[in-house]
Amino acid sequence: MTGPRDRPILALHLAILLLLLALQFVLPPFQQGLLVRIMVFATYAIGYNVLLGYTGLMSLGHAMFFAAGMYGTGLAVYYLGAAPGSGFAVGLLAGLILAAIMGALTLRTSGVSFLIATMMFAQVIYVTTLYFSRITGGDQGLVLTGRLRPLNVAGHHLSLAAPGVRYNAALIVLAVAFLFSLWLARSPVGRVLVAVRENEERARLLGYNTTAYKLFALAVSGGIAGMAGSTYTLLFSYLGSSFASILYSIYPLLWTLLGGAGSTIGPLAGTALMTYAVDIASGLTDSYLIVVGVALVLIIMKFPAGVAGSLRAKWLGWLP
Amino acid sequence: MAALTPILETMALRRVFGGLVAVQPVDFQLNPGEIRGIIGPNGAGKTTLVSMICGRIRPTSGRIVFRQRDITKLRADERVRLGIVYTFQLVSVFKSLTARENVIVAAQRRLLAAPGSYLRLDRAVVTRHAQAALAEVGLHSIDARPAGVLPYGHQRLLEIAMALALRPQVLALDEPTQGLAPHEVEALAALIRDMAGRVAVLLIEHNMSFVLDVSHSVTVMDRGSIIAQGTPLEVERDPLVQGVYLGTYPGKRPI
Repeated sequence: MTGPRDRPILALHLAILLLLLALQFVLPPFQQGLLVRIMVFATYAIGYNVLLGYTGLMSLGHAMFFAAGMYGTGLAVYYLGAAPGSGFAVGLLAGLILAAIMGALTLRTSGVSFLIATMMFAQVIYVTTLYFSRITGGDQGLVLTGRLRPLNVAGHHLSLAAPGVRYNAALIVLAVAFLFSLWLARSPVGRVLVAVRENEERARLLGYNTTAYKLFALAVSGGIAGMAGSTYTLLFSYLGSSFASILYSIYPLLWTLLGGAGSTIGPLAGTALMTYAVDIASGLTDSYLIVVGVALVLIIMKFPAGVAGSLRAKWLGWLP
Repeated sequence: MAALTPILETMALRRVFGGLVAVQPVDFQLNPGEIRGIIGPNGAGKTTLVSMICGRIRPTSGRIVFRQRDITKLRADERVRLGIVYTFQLVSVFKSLTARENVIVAAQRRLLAAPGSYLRLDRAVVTRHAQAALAEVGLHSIDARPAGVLPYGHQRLLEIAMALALRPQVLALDEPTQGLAPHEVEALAALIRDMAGRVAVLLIEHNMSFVLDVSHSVTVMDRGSIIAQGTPLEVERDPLVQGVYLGTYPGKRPI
C-alpha cells in the first residue's frame, strides 16, 4: 500500500530507530542500560496502544499479557532449557493466546466494564503466579543466569547479558513492534479499527463484524505485550510476580496517554519521558513518585492529547 | 405489482418492548428497485420495523426473508454484506476521519468479498470507488476535511455516500431530510429518484411533501400496524390516513 505522505512518515520512523542505533556509541553504560529498559517497555506500550489508541478499548489488565510472555519464556528456559529463540516464540504465543482467550471472555463488555473485567482477570493471573511459587518463584522470582544459553546468530554465540548484545536485541524487538504498528495503523484493517473506536455501531452497519476486529486487536496487543515480557526476561535474566501486578497494568496506560494514544510514536515518547522523569526525580529525592505524579498531572492538564497528539494538533497533521 | 417477486418480505414480524407492543404482527413486501415511503405519527413503529429489517433490533417473533432467504437470525453486519444497508436518523459519521476516509471504510468493505482479500485490496481501486460515491452525492470537493467539522447537511450527504459505496440492494434512509436546507432537500430528492430501479429504497420520513413526491408507493403505520398502503395519490386520499395522520378534514388538506 502506498499513499500520500508515505515517504516522510516512513523516514521519520526510520530516523527515530537510527537515532536509537547511534546512541549506543555515544552514551555511557548506565544510560545505555536505561535505554534498554525504555526500549523494552516502549515495545510493551506500543502493544497497549494498538488496543487503546487505535481500537478505543482501555484495558487495566495488560500486565497479564506481559507476564504471560515473561513466564512463558522464563519457565521454558528455566525448566526445559529452551534456547533464547524458541523461548521467545513461546513467550510471544503465550501473550497472544492468553489475549485471545481473554477477548472471548471480556469483549462482551465495553467501556468501564471492560476495564474492570480485564483488571480482575489480571489479578487472577497475578495471584496464580504467587500461589504456585514453588514453580514460579513467587515474588522472589527466578534468576536465569547460568541457565540461559547464548544466542546463536549464524554460528556466533552471543551472550544476551553482554551490554552491546542486550542493547541491540532490545532495539530489534522495538523496531519490529514500532514498524508493525505503523503498518497496521495505515492498513485497511487499521482503518476499520479506528472506525470501531470512533463509532462501533456505525462500523457494524457498514458490514464489519466489530467483535472480530476487537478480538484481533486484543490478540495483537497481547502478542506484542508478550513479546516485550519475553524480551525483558531474556535480557535481564529474571522473572518475578511484581511484573504481573496491577502496577504493570497501569504503566503502559500512563506511558501511552503521556506520549499520545492513537499515535505511532506516542508510546515510545511517553515511555522515554516517564522513565527519565523517574530517573531524574529519584536523584533529587526519595519520594520521587510525588515529583512524577505532579509532572504527569501538569502534562495531562496542558497536553491532554499527549506529546505526539499535541504535536499532531499543532504542526504535524499528517503524523500517523 | 403482485406479479413481482419481492426482494424483501416480512411475515408476522412483531416486536414488544416490555409491555409495549411497538410493532404488531406486520406483513410487509418491498419490490426490487422500488422507492417506498414509510410514514406515520411519532411512535407508530416505523423505525422499529426498519431496525428489525436491518438487524439492529431482534424481532420478538416473525420472519424476515431477503431474496427468498430467511435472514431473521443474521447479525446486522451480515445483512449489510448481503446488501441491506441502513443510514442513521442521527448523523453518525466517523468524526476524526476525513470525508473521503469515511467513504473508504465503506467502499473497502464491499471489495472484501473473501477472507484473506485484505492482502489483495488495491488502495487505488478503493479510493476510486469512494470518490465515485462522493461524487454521486455531490461532495467531491470537500473530501479532505475531517468529517466532524463539515456542515450538518454535508454530514447527512456523507452518510448517504457511505451507504452508496456499499452498493446496497435495499437502502433504508431514516429521516434523511431532517436538518437539510430546502435546496439540499431538492438535491436529495433527485438523488433518490436516480436510484430508482437499481436500489430498493425504504424511506422513513416526516416531511410529507417530500415522501409523496419521491416515493413510488407509501406505507402508512399507526400504533404498530400498517393501516394503509398504495400510491402517494391513493394514500393521500385515504380517509383513514387523513384521520390518523393529516387530521380529520374529509376531502380537504389541512392548512
